[in-house]
Amino acid sequence: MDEFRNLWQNQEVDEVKISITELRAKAAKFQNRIQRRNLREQLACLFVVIAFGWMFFKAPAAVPRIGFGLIVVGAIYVAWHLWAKGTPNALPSDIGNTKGVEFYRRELEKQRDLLQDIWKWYLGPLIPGMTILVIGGILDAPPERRWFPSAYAVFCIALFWGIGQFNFRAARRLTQQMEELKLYTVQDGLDLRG
Amino acid sequence: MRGQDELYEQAAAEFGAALARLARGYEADTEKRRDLLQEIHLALWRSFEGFGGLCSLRTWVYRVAHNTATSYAIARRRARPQMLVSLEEVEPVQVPPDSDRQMALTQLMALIQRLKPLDQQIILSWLDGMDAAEISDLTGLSPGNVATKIHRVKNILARDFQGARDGRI
Repeated sequence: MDEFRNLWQNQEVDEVKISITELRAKAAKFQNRIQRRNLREQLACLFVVIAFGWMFFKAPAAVPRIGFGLIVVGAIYVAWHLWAKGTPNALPSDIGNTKGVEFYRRELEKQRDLLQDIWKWYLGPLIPGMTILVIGGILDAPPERRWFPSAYAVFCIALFWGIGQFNFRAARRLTQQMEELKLYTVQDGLDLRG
Repeated sequence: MRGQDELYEQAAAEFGAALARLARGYEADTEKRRDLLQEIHLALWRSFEGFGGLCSLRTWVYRVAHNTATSYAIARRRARPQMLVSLEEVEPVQVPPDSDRQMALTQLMALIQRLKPLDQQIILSWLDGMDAAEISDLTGLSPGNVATKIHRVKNILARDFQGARDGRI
């Protein structure tokens, strides 16, 4: 079998030579990219807060006012969650101390939880406000125009359901990989959570 | 204890070629492979901030490289789902008996790229000269489990690459 190892080890490869200066620049660039993304998310949240906050004060009745207020609260929660959880793409600092099986499990779990919990941290917080707004819209509209807020409600439900399903399917695939990993290590008696 | 930069420079000098081979096992596309290799180097340099010398430099380097590549593979598969197989499931490769070294190597890489991440770690580490104990330390699997997997690797190589082996590699 040594011939295969020789074949592998003696193949011609294009090595990458990176100076420390370049590495520092790359690390800074990566950090800037994360900061820019966080800033974009915070600005999007600020836009929602300002727009719906303005509508909150301008709303003529209590029902839409409650709806706009709840959307502002929901958007703040989403922004807080993104800020608190950090970036999903960053590699952990203990990468060199973590053995392959444990690292693989943790990465799968991290990605799976992010996808699986999308109703909790992204879609769910926006639902109360949107529901109140739609109900208020239907109640306020003259009977012949109630189809418009109803159609809007159907569109929102379909959109949220589609986003949820897309993420659930991806989460299921990752859960399946976690199950496979458990089977893979079953003879070692490793304690793999998740 | 040496500093982060010094440790990285030593690791890059000693294991630069091994890291390039490792990246070939995870990514077939040349451009993406180069990006992955740069990502590995960056992760390695950053990791040396926390290197406490509890394991050998070699184990550390391979662990960071494989973990980075595994993370890359998970993200890539989410964007482009495809079925990866285990060593037990991999179908025979049609390696022509008159294959030269380059053809045999290409087939070998294609085989490795179809494997699940832990099997990739095992076969790549074994091909790079590690024994079962070292691979066990790298992956966290028991030496017995690793030995079983290596046995499977050898069987696959004997089954699929016999012709090429008898010929020119």
